[in-house]
Amino acid sequence: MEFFNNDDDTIGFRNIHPLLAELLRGIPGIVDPAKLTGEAESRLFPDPTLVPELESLRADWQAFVQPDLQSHFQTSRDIVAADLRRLRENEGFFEIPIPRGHADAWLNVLNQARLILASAIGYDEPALETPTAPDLLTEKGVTLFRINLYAFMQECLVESID
Amino acid sequence: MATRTLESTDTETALDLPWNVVVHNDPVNLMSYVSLVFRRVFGYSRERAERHMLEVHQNGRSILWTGGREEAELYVQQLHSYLLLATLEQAER
Repeated sequence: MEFFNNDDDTIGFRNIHPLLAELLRGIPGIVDPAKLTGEAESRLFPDPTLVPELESLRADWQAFVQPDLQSHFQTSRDIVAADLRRLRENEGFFEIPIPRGHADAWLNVLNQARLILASAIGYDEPALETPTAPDLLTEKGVTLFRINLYAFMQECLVESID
Repeated sequence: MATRTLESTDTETALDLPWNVVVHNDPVNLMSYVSLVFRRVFGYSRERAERHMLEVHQNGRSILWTGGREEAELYVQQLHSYLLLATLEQAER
């Protein structure tokens, strides 16, 4: 799998192995708000303060800010889902062109996915930071693989923006 | 993204102290991404953004900005939109 950055307004990924293409197609399912656990939701919408006394701030945040954030995240999900429908096969591998203007949406959704996946494995920091390949015979290992795959994509996108 | 002014009335807080915008470490956000977000949200130079990013990574948190409460809330909202762990707290005397 490799990232491409054309002179026109297109970036994207190509030479994507069919198995990895499936993991890309799975992104909308991971970030589906209807499937969020309580822990994942708490991470996507964290408290704005650690100060216990600021209860009214928390209440205001939940009432006014969280809906805005939900809307922003949903807009990003819609953009990425539409782009993923353009995932196409090319001689046994896959490629996906992404309009350059959609890079921020992809960064956001890949981050949503990584945070949700990490919550499913308890934010295991040693596992998340280890450079060794995960054990793909375990569910946790597959989850870590997905987190790392999406991280690779994020790094490429950040570099293209910067 | 739409912004909104919050009108909290926490009487427990001292009105004269400024507010800190604090970013906390988490094991998921990429360092390159965090640095980019700091540059975008606060307009910091690459060097300053990376300094704060490293402080978050190494010390667990970094105070990114200090000032009025309203502006601090807007910054925290922006940071949350980028899925960073950010909070506001009143600065110490």
